[in-house]
Amino acid sequence: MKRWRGPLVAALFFACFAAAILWMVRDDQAVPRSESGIAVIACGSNSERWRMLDQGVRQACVDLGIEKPVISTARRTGSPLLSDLLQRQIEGGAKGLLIAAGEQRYQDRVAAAADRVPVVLLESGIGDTLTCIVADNAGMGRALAEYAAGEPGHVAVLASGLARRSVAERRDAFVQRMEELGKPVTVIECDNIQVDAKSFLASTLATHEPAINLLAALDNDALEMAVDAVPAAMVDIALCGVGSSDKAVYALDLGIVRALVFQNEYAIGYLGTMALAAEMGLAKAPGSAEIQYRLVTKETMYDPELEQLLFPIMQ
Amino acid sequence: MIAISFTLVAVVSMVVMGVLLYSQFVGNLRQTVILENRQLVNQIALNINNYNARMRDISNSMYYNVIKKADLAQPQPLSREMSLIYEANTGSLVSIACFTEDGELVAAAPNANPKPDVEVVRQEWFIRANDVIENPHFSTPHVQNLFVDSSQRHHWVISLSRMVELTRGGGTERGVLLVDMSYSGIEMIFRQMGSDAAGYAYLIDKSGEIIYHPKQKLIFSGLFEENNLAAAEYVDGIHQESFDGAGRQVIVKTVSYTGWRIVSVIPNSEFAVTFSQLRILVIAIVGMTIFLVTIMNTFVSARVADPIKRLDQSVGELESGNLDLDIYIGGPYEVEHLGKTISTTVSQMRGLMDDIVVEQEEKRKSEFDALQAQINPHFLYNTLDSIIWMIESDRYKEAISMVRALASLFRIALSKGNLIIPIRAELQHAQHYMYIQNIRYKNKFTVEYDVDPSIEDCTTIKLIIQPLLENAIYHAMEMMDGDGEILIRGRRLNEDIYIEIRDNGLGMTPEKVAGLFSGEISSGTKGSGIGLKNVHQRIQLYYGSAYGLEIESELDVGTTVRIHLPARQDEAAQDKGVNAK
Repeated sequence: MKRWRGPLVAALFFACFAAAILWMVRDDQAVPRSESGIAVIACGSNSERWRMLDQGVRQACVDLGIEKPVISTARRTGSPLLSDLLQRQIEGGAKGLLIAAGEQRYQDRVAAAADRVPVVLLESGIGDTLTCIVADNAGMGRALAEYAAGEPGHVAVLASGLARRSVAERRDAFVQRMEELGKPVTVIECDNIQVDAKSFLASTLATHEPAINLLAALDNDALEMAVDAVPAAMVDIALCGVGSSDKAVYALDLGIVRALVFQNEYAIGYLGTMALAAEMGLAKAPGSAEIQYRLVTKETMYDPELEQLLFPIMQ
Repeated sequence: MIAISFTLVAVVSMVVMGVLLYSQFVGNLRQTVILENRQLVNQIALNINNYNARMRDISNSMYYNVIKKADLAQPQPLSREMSLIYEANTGSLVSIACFTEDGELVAAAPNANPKPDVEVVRQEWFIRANDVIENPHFSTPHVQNLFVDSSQRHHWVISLSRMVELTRGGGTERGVLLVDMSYSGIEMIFRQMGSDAAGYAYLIDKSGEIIYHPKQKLIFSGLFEENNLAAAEYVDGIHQESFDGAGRQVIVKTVSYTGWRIVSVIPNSEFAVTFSQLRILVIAIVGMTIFLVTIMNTFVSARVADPIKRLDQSVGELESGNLDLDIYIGGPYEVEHLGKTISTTVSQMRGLMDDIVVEQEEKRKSEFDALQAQINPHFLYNTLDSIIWMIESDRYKEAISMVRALASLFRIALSKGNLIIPIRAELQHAQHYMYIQNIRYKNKFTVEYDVDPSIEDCTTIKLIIQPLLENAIYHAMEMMDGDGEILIRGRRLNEDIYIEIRDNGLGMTPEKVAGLFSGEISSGTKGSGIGLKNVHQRIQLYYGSAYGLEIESELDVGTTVRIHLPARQDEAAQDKGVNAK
C-alpha cells in the first residue's frame, strides 16, 4: 500500500490540476442563455406600437449576449390580468422584467413581482422605488403646448390614459404652459366614460363650443383615436400630439396631424434593458443618459437627423 | 538534488517554450483574424458591387430598352414595361419612377400615386442627376417621400438617379430616372458577415456619412459613437487606431464606382478575450507538462540517485575506517559498475592493509626482539664471576642460591618465547634480579615491594621492571654514601596500572630527565644498556602512545620512574581462577 501511495497522490494532484484547468478554459457560451432571460410587458397597446422600444431591447440583448425576449402586450390589461401575466413570465423562467407604459393602479402587482425578480419600468413610472427609464414627460407636454399655442384658433387637449403617470405629467405640463402663454385650453376627459371613447370624442368635437381648431393628444393611443374621430366628427380640426406609431407618422405625412412630439423609444428600450441587466448582475449600470424627445412637423419629418429617429430601420 | 536540477531545467525550458509558442501563436492568430476579416470585407465589397451593379443594370435596362424607345406623346408610354421590370426585381426594388425635367411624374411602378405636395425638383437625387448628367448617382439611405403608401409604411431606400433623354412627339427633352432599391439589401449583406467575423463592419460614403452600421440606431440616439469621419480619410488597407480610449484594428476597403467605404473594426478587446483563453490554455498545457515532467523526474532521478546515495553511504563508511563492510552494488549499469569497481578496490585495499599489518607486526616483533637482545652481557659475566668466587670461597649454598636465582631470572626472561607475561612473573623476575644484585653489592641497598595483589594477574610485556631497577642501582645507588632504598609499588587506577620504581639516589635535573627519552642523554656505560628509552619504546610499540614511562626526579632526593600500562587480565590466570572455583 505504501508503495502505491506516491503514485496515487500524484494521480490525485494531476486530476485536480486537470479539473482546474478544464474549469478555467471552459466555454462560457455553454451557459444556457435562458438562465439570463428577461421578459418585456407593454401595457395598453399592441406590439406594432412598441416596435422601436422592442428594437432597443433587442440591441441591448445582443450587446449583453443574453437571450432576446418576446414583447408581451395587452391592449386592455386589467390589474388582475396583468398580475397573471407577470406571474406567468416569472414562472416561465424570466429572471428580470421590463414593464412599459404601466399604469399607477398596477403598483401592488408590480411591487409583488419586484419582490421576486428585478423590475425596470419603461416610458412611465409606477411608485417611487423602482428604476424607471423615461423621457422628460413634462418637457414633452410643454413642447406640445408651445406648438399648439402658436396655432390659430381654440385648442383642446385630449385627456386620455391619465392612469399612466407619464401622460398625467404631460397633461399637467401642457395645461400649465398654455396658461403661461395665455392661450385658453379645453380639457376633454375620455377616461372612465361609459360609452365608446372614439364616439364620445367625435361627438364632443362636433358639438363643442367654442369650436375646437386644434386638438392635442398626449399619448399615441389617444392620438390614433383622434385621427379616427376627427373624420367621424366631420369637423375641420387640426391635430397634434405625442406619438410615433406608423399610423401617427402616416397621418403626419398626410397632413392630418400637424405636429408630433416623439420620444426616443429605442433608447428607452436599450437603456432600460441595460439597467435591468445591471440589477440582475449581468452588466455594469449604464451611465445617466437623457432620453431625447423631438417635435416634428410635416415639413421637417424627412430631415436626415429626424428621419433616423422617426422611421425605424429594421435591423 | 538531481530531481530538482532536472525539474528546474525542464520548468525553465517549458516556460521559455510556452512564452515563445504563445507569442508566435498570438501573432499568427491576430494575422489570421485580420486576414479573415479582410477576406470578408472583400466579399462584402463584391456583394455591394453586385448590389450597385444590379441597380445600374435595372436603370440601364429601363433607360436603353424602354425609355429610349418610348414616345411620351403616346398614352402611358412607359408604365407597362416599367411594371414588368419592377415585377422582375420586386424583392430588391421599392420603386422605379421617371420624371420630366420639371419634376412631373411620367411613369412609376408599382405606385403611381405621388404625394401632392412633394417638390421632386428639390430632392437631392433629382438635383444631383441634373448637376452631373453623364453618370448615375447613388444616394445615401433615406426614407422615400414620393408616393402615398396605403399600408402606412415608409421605406428606407438607396436611390440611383440619372439624367435621361425623353422623346416626346419626335422631339427630345431631359428627364430623370429614379430607381429606389430597398435598403434591406445592404443590411442583409452586412448581416451575413456579422455572424462570421470578429468585430463588426460598417459602410460609409466618401464624406464619412454612415450608410450602414450594425448599431446605427444607437449612434443616432447618441448612445454609441463611431470613428466614421476619421475612417473616411484612411487609405484602403489595415490601420491601427485608438478611439474612445480603446485600440482597434481597422480594415478599410473602397467600393468601386460609388466610392463607398467598407470599414471593418476589430476591437483589441476582442483579441484580448481570445488571447486570454489562449493564454490560459498555454499555461494549462505548460503546467500539466511541468507537472508530468516533475513526477517523471522524481521517479527517474530516484532510480538513479538512490543507488548513488547507497553507494555514497558505503564509501562514507569506508572513509570512516570500516573496511569490512559490503560495498553496495546495484542500480543502473554505470552505478553498478562503479560499485563493483569500488568493491574490488576495497578488497585490494583490505588485502594490502592486512599485508601491512602483518608486516608491521613482524617488524615490531623483530624490533622488540632486537631491543630485548640488548641485555647487558656484563651482568651475566659479573654474576657468573660472583658465583665462581663463592664456590672458590666454599660458599656453596650461596652459590647454589645465586645460580638458582639466575636460572629463574633467565627462565622468566625467556618465558617460553612469550612476549606477554603476568605482572606477577615480571615482579618475580625483578625479585630474582635484586637478589643477585644484593649479593653482589653486599646488601648495600634494600628493596621494598608494595604491589596491589589485584594487578598481579594482569599482563605486561616482559622485562620492563628489571632495566629500571638496573638503572636505579647503577645510576642512583652505586655512588651513594649511605644505604640505598628502592621501593617497587604497583596500583590500579580504573583501567590503568601504574608500577613505580622509586629510589632515594642522587636524582636528576629536569633537563637530564627531558633528555632521557629523546636519546640526547645516554644512560652511561654501566647498566644493562636497555635503558629507559628502550622500555618506553617497547611499551608504546605494544600498547600505544598513551602508555609508557613517566619520570619524576629531584636532585639529592631521588627518582621515581612510573610505568603506565593498560589493565589487561591474564586470560590463563583467569581460566585457572574459574577452574579453581
